Amino acid sequence: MKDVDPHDLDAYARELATLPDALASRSPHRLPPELRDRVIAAARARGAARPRFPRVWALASAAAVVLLGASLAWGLSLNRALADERTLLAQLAGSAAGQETVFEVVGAANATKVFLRAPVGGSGAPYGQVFTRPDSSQVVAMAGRLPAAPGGQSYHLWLTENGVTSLAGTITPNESGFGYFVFDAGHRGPAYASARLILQPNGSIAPSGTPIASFQ
Amino acid sequence: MPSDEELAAAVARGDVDAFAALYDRFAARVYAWSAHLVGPSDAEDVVQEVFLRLWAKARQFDPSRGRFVVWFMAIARHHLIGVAKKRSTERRLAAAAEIEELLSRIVDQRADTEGEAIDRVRGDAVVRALADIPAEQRRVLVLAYFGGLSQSAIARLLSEPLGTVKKRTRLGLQKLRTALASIQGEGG
Repeated sequence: MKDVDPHDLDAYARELATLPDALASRSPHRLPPELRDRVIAAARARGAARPRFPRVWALASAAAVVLLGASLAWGLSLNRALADERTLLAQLAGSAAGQETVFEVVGAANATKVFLRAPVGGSGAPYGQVFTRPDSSQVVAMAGRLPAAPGGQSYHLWLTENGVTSLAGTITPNESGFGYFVFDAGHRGPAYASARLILQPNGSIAPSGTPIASFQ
Repeated sequence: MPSDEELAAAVARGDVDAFAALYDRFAARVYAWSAHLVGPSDAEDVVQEVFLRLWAKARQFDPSRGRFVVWFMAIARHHLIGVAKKRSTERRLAAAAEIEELLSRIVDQRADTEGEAIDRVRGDAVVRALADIPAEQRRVLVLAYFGGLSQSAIARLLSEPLGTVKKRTRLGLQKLRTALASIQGEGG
């Protein structure tokens, strides 16, 4: 048998890598189920942001070069070319705004999130999260494990800030029981004292009924 | 069912479903280890960071150089030990000792029941292998691997000469390799 430097655990990495499985199979510490969605959302945020932004800016830069060259070639003024460039950039940003906003909020290092829990917990209970950023007015709300909403009803998210409760938006879950929406809080860094997700008739103007998940 | 290596290749292409599948296979291991070493409250952040590193580095995984689990657990251990080293040495010693005590209890329990019940669940091949290693050798392995403790620190913890710890480490590693190879051979 080959003798190895006892300092070198790397030489036995293959064998040692099996040990965490033994620990996990008997440890009293159990992986929180809700962590899965958080990790996957964070990965989506990082993964989507990397390829998309360079592509957008590359397109924008290329468009700017084309516009500038065209303006020179055809004798247009530089101001006109720059104005066109700004318009093009705005259009590009707008076309990707829906998804990117989600990722910019959810994936931000300074994002703050609150968890909405069901009154009665359990592995199958509905839950939700609301993400905010101190430097942004954009807010992302999402919920999972929601039962299908009956016809004419949807899940209403009521948020309370500075003593004022308002409807942030509604969620109609997909077939997996998941739904999300993005809304503008109207000011940067909103901080909510409470959040309630309630199944209500569409068009409800005030919270009513028992929340399916809430944060207080 | 796709292999870990196939899933890793898909993750390298940005496949979120493959990423989720690898999370389902390995997150519990990272979480349990982290919860013991740095506490449950920080363990969630460790798991998230480890898997985000997987997401970012999956292209670097080369299946010709070894199995995915080895590569991934090396990433997990590197990050987790780094986090643990920001805590006091005493706390890390205590946490590593707790893991060692738990694994010893598992091995003892297996011996008590002759492995009948325990052999049905995941991780049993490793438990069987650990059972084949003398307790004092197993202890230094667990302290070094799970706690990231140097052999000098282990020698101080156990009040044993450094040379003794080095010898136990070497023998323990060799026996772990032999035991795992033997069990894998039994499994076909």
